[in-house]
Amino acid sequence: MKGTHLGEFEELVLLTCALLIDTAYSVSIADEIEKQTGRDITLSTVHTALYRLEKKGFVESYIGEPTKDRGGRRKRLYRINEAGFSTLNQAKELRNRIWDMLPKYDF
Amino acid sequence: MQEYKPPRWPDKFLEWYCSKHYLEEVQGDLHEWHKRRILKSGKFRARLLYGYDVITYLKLFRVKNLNDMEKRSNVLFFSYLKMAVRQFKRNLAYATMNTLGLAIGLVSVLLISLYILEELSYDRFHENGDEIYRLINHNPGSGRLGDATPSPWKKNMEIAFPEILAHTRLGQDVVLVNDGERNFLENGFYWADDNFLEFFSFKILSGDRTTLLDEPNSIVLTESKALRYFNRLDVVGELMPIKVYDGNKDFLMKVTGVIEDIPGNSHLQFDFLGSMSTTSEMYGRFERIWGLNWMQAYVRLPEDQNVGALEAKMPAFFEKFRGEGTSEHSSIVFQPLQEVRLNSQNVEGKLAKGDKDNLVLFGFVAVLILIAASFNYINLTTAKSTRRGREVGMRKVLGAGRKQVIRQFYVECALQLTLAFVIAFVAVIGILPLFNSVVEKSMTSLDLFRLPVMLVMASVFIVILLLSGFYPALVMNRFKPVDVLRSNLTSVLGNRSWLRKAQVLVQFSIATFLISSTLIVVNQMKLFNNHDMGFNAKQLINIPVDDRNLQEQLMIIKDRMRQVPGVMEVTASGEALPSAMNNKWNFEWDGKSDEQGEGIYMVAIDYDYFKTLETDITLGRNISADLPTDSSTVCLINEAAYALTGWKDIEGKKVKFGGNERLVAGVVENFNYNSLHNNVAPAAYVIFGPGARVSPDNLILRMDAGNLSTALDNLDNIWREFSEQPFNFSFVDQTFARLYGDEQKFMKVLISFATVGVFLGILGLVGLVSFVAERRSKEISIRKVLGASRGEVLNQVAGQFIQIFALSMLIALPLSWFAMGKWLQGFAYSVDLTWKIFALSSLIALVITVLSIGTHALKIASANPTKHLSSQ
Repeated sequence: MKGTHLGEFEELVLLTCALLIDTAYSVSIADEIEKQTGRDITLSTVHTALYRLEKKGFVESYIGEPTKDRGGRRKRLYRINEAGFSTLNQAKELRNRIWDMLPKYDF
Repeated sequence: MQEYKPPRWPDKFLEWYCSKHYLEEVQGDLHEWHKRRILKSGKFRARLLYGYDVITYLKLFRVKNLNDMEKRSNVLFFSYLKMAVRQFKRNLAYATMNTLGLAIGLVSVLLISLYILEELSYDRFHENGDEIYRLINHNPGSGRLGDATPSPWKKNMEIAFPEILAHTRLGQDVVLVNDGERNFLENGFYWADDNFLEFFSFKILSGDRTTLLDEPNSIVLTESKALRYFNRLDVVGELMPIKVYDGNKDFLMKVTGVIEDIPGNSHLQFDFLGSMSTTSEMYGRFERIWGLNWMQAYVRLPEDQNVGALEAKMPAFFEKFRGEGTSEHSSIVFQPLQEVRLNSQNVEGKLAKGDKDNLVLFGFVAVLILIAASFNYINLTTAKSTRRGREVGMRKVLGAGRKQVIRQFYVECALQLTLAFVIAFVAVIGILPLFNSVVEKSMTSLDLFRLPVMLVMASVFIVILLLSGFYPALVMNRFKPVDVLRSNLTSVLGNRSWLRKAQVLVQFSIATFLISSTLIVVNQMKLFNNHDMGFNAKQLINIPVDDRNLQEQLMIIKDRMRQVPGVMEVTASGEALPSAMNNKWNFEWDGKSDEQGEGIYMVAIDYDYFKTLETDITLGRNISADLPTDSSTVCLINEAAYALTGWKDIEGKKVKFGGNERLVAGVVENFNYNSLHNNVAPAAYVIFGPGARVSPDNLILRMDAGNLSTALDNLDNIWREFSEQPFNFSFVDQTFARLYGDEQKFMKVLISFATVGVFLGILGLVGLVSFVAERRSKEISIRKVLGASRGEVLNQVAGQFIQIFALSMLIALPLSWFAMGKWLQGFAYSVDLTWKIFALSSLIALVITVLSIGTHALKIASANPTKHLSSQ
């Protein structure tokens, strides 16, 4: 499994990436994560996570159309692929399995 | 859109480092993120954070790759760095020694620079500081200068000197401050004119600067004294009872303000300021007495004022206001405020003075250390680089250009230098607290990063870099690769030995100079410790009696103390030992010509004084209790005063001071009331009863060494019967030793720095000798094979150093004689500069050289020749 392991933040980015179909890129992902978690996000960490995910083969990137908003600069968009999706699924199932095994807690 | 534009510089930086491949998306993302942040948390925060963002993006994979960079900067830069690190590792011991040697030198230079800068920073924090002058009381007849000015000056100056913009004075007074229970003697109490705190820019914490000292009975105190007496800072309006020692007067002072503690680099140091108007009843009459010099005075003059023009008006001023003929012996000199600290050696006064001579000597030592350290570094670096001819040749064969070879050598030097400088700065920051405690200053590591220090360090860096890189970069570069690769080094290197000889000469000279100068300083200190003070300071204690009421009972206390076993002698005195002498009077004597305006210090004593101090009467007789008239009509003068009068004998001679005439009964051996910086001043000794300013206010006891502690306990008990103040005493010899605290400190610091300098010199020599030996190992081996003895080889290797050594003595010793002669002029008593000192220092230098070079040379001379010859 080494090399395909997902860090906590990476998993979050990958999930968000899956959420934002066709519009997933660093700013939108960071924005979404901030909204969802309320954490302060540094853009470069999102970028770094995306590069790693791409290297591990969980996302694919493509260059988008230039937009006026960014002074005509194109953005690099990300799309989750099958491997990424199945890894997310595995992670989720692993958790669900453990959740199911948990005894009942009364706090 | 415009208002969402990110700050320019970080953006430029991003464009500079980021490779094209990533720039578009990263910049686009960052701009968008920036806009979002502006909307969220405002423009200011967003702009600030943008720079941070750009830096977080600085990851190696995004940095322009080497191909990108090649066009604009040097591709091989990283390769050079790598080479430099490898070179360093390969010659680890040598490179470490070289770097550390330089770092040690730099540490010394930095510390000394900090010290000098601190001394130069005195009194520079006042607004309009360059327009402020201190008034110096000047006696044109005798040339004496003093910081205490005549009181009537203020009243009369305004008419005569309209140029003076402002004028202020302060005068120290002996004052006891009451903290609610007891009185404490405060030495930092001054009466000051109402405009004093407007005149100077001391920081005020509470109170109104313009009115602080306007009202009578106003008092301003420093932060730490406020905490000391009230335990808080908001004390404006509080009452403070004080007792003025002169006249035993009580005042209830009202606190009008608190000021920050006086900075260490101010020549004026005080804790309390009382308003001058409080004293009008006590001291008001002083305003009319020209002969009374008490207060320090300062004036502000217009910026472009010619001070000489003002001083030229002085004779006329004194003729007019003080009286005819007085300009012969009284005048005023203006001293710029910023010169007060370092340029007051010949000005009499109690304020602490800096020593310009010491500063110059320090600076000189720093320069020498810097030269020694830089020479070492440059020398060893260039020497080592000559062995890299083959590498340079190889590089050139493989297509390296001249510029690239130059760059490589400079990168290497720069790396090593940077390392040395970083080590030096870190070390200084570490050592600073210790250094501070030795020189009693409070410099912070922040001072290190002030502009002058940085400028000096930067220029040192550049000069060393240029010089140490110069030889390998330019000379090595000139070789034809073929010559070098054929190992024809001697032909390409040529004869550079004159340069090396010159460097050795400088090293030798610096080491010898430092050794001989240190010896002279040490000798001077020994003189202080062994000087015949004129009295016996051993087992002598001094008990100050500050309370006026107690002084009335002084004779009773004295008699009681005399009974204590262990007390051998007791006497009462108007001056403590040591003391700065307080009571100076105009001095007249039989046969005095009018123009000699001389002063004499008056000391009130009792009959046992000279017996207790063990001072000899050289002429005439002592004052005797058996002759009733002695107490009122007779005095003793010291040899200094006797010399002034020019008398042949004292038969029936009379002197006049302090308004009364006395017969001179005898002449006393000169003895030092103060440090040996000052000559023994003329003094007169008289019997004086209690109740006046000059009255005896000290008890001086000669103790028996045997049972000192029980005797002191007994004295304490007696003291308690008479006084509520704590029993306070000091050993006279210890207090005297403390007077030389500054010199002791200076000597310690100088010796340690001189040691560093000598050490660096040796380091350089050893490095050089080992290098020369290595270069000549083949030659020496062949000589030995052909039958040269060990001694002959030794002579070959070390012989040239002996000549250089002799030459360096010729340079260094006269220089040291000259420089130290100047330094010694600052002392009233100084050692003679005899040939012995210089002979000794040459001997020390020689021994050190022989020990350091000799072992090395011996090793080479005794080595087995096959070892070196077989390596080829």
